[in-house]
Amino acid sequence: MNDLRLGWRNLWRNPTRTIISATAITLSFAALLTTFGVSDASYDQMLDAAVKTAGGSVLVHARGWHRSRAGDLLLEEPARIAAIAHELPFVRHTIPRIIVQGLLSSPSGAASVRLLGVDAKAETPLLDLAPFVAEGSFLAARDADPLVVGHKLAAKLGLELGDRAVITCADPKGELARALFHVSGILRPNSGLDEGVAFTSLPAAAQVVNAGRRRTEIGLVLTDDARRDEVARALRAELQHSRSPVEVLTWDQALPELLGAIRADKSFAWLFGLVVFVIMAFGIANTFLMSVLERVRELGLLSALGVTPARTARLVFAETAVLTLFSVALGYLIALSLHFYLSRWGIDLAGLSGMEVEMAGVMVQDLRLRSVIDPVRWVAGGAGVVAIVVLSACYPALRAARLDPVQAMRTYE
Amino acid sequence: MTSDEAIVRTEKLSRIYRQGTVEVHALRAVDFACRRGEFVALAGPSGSGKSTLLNQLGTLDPPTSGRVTIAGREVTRLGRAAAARFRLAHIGFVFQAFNLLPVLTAYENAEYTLLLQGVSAAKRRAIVLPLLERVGLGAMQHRRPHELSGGQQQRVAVVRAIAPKPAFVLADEPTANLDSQSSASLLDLLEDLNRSDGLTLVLASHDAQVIARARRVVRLRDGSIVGDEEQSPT
Repeated sequence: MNDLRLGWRNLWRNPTRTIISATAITLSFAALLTTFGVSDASYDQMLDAAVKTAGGSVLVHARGWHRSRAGDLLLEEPARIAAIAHELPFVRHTIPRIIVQGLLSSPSGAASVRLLGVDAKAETPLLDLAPFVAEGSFLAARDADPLVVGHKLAAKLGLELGDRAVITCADPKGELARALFHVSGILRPNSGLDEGVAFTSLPAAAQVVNAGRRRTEIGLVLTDDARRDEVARALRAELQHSRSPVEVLTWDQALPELLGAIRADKSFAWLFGLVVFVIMAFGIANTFLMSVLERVRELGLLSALGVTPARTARLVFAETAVLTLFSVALGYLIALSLHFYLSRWGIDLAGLSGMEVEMAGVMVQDLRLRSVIDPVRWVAGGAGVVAIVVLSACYPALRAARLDPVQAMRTYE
Repeated sequence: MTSDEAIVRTEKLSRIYRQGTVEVHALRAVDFACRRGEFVALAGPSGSGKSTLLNQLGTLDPPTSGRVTIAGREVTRLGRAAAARFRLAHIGFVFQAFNLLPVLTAYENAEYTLLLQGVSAAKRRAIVLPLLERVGLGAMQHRRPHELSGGQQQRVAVVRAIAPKPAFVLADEPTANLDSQSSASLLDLLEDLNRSDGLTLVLASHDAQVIARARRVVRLRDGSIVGDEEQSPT
């Protein structure tokens, strides 16, 4: 009869209490692991969305453009840069863009916009906006001077399909440039692109600012976003002797606030885990304290028979360990089942709530609640529970170890 | 150590309990010795100090002053862990009630002290099973305490106490919770163990039936020994 077996039997002296305690630990732990799984999956979704929001994992501009957004800072050799980038490992696609900051006017009003001149086909591997179009199309080849605007911007400027709108901006020489567009598409509400952004074709945008073959930005789509720093370094090295200087940024360098928001969200998940841990710790401490107080006389008997204080404490720890191992194993099983369900089918959040699909400031298109397993977090979670349980059993164990055998055996006599 | 030497001895042993501002003198300078093979009854009314003396002899409670020597070793100032280890190695206990661990079977309770001593499973079995047979519980070895009568439980406790072959066994009111038939049966067992195995027994009781079985009766009153006589057990 070792301590663990004795602990197991002691646990079943009060089955109701043991079942309640085990259920509390199991469910808390399963909830914690599921939270880890779901939050890790949502980080992946957020990171994916962040790459889309930024325009690629790695972005190449003329040097100084990111800070100034000056219209005269254009990439002189975009085709050469794209060719060099394509030669690098992990680079799947390059997407050229022209970005113009200007004023979009209609007979009903005007609004400041960022006009993105894009090649719809080239953008598709990163972000296919066609499904987000409520009316018209997303830059179909047949459209001349096309303009795709968000639902709110269209409402604000009173724009409907086929209406004309004028963009006013500064060309690379600093001269005022104006161009006429026809609304060819309106994005549906809650697409994340409601205000402040409008799309046109790459040639049309190039014409507005008289860019010719020059481009504002080349976005790189990678096979693995985690390699963005490596790719950016390699590209910087390749382009350091370019005829015109360039800047190569990763998406988190370009949009540091996004990364901050994602990290804050992650910290919140950890905080939630901590709260679960603390609640669990008090529950366990209470269970074992009750169990010790109920058995004062019996523990006194053990002491009288020659069980040392340290071993008495060990017996209490053994009970705790048995309960914890059982509960943690069951918790893993439940969490894995939930993970399996979520990773395979997920839960459609958009269908459930129809809410704005923004997480940590990033517009997320995949609206299914999913789960991924981060082995480190899952193992650390299990270890954390064991540590918390051991800590919470310390006081009951100490009480048991400090029992004076004579006093203890007089109790309940 | 010869059989005439005391296996347990106290010198000027005092124990004072403090209850608030009141001091209760449970033992007053008690000199007591017990030789190997003796069957001693500590007799006296409630509050006379017999249980307190038993606790001192069992290293369960440190004295206020005086000395306790067991098997030639002074144990008066042992720490709690050292005292526990000493008890495990040298002293057997039979208590009045709540004597067994409820989650263990009769056999597991009986072997518990051997287990604590680190005796192998095979050796424990070789020691405990014959003892259980001897006390008439061989067929009940798999029963839990709640499936045994009070007398049977005390027999298991006796087996647990004697299995490691301690220097002596202390029994505090071992028959207090038993009916007269079970009491007589338990006393028969203790007497037999004393006579045939030379088991040294010190028990505390105010039960005349128990006291009559002892070969030596030490009477206490108000924390002092007031009588110490040999007797022929009835």
